[in-house]
Amino acid sequence: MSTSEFGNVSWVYFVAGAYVLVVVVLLGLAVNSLGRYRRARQALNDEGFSDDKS
Amino acid sequence: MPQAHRDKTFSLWAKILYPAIFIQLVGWYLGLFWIGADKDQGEVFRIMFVHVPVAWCAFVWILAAAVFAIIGFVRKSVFEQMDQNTHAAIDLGTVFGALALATGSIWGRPTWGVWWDWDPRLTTTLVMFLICCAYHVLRSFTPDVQARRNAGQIVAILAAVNVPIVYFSVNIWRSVHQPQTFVRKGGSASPDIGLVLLVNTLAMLLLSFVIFKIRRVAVATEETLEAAREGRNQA
Amino acid sequence: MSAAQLWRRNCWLVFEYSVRSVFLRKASWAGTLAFAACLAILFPFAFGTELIQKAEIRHGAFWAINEFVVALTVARLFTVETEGGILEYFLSTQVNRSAILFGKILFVVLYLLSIQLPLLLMWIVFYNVPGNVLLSLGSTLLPLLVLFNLGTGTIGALLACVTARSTARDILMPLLFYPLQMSILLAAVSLATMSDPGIVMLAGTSNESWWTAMLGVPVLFLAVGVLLSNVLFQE
Repeated sequence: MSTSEFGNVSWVYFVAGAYVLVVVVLLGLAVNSLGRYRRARQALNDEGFSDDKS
Repeated sequence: MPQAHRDKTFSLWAKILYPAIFIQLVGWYLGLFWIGADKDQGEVFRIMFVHVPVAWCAFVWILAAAVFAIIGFVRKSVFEQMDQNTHAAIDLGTVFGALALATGSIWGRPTWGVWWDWDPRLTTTLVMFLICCAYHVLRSFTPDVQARRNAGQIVAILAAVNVPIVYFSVNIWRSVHQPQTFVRKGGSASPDIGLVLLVNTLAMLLLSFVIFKIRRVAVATEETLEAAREGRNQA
Repeated sequence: MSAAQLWRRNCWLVFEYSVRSVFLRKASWAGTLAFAACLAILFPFAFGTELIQKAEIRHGAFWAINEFVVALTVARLFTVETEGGILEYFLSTQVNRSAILFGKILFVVLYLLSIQLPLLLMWIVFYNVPGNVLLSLGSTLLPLLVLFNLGTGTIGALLACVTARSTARDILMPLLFYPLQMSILLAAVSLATMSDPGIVMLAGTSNESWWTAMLGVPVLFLAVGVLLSNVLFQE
């Protein structure tokens, strides 16, 4: 099997696909984690459960 | 953990996130552009520099979740904190497990000729991923907080205990039922490939650790909010 | 009475109560058997009567039906005790938690066997199992069934406790149960298939590995259950 063509699909698509997927998912995970904290923190402030302001 | 301490922790790790991302980008640059093509797999082997690190992260965080759970049961004083650690660790284990499956499948297509080969490692990852999904469903459907913590911790331990059993079983099963479809057996990896792989694995572990710390603080803050609302409703 | 004697007595008490509850009413047992019969005809409808007579499919179908029967059994493991208030009584007394677990596991082994023996007859008839296959399976089948029931019963009992305070248990139980006991299924199917004189295996694999898995899994999960029994059975 040629390593440059797989059923007429270039190796670039496989490599790019893998890297793009990982970048998107990890970015999403980081943004989600940051967002969850900020939303919970804001809710604590808004609902009067916290005296801190952040 | 007092809220002020959580705020400080969050700020610190949110700042560390940027250098961690930079280190990972350096690792990917090395894997994509610095190192030459593999003599057996050609350019496709570069997927290894994302697949192997995310697979390692998946297993490391599942194991960490089990360790946190065991510590939580042994030392009752830190049970709540360990449960929050377990929760964040399983979150990461789930995401990295999904990534390992997806990238493994993408790598498998050009090397094996099929998207899925029932390879022992991928199959073990799949089973582990399913248990992680079950963990999240269990947490969602257990209203009592203490019961939720207990159940979650136990499932985390069972998930880690199950990993070697499944690997062992699938390995034997595969050897009998199906010859390995990956026929291109390369020689041992050159030192350069090994080094770049190590750099990428460490970078991914660091990045995952930073995200874990952020997520852990988020989980703790959400639970504080939930407890405060519960207290207000009961009052 | 020594602690060991008390433990054995409590274990037997739980076992006896479970057996009486189920076999006196019979509706539960009969319903499960009818369910197994439905499954036994499901595979021929799904795969066609010619394919179902192939040796590999035949054995797989039998154990797959067992999987569904076990899932149904363990989902209802503590139903009788919970409905009758007996479980709360056990938990409020000094009954050793591991005795409750062992009693329940013994019950599952016996209960499943009582379903599997009639199911075996159905399987022999519906799937046209030849006499020579039955003869070669003969010495393997009973220990295989007992170990399968022990393994799945152990995992099922653990999970029944874990999900006891969860809503949507009908989703949670299979979701947690199947990934955890996958190795036992693999071992059971492989051992049954390897006993079949009509099947030629691809590679020479000794039975020892599979018997190790069949024995090792219940031992491992039983150990986890005993260590966590006080957490599993909390009031």
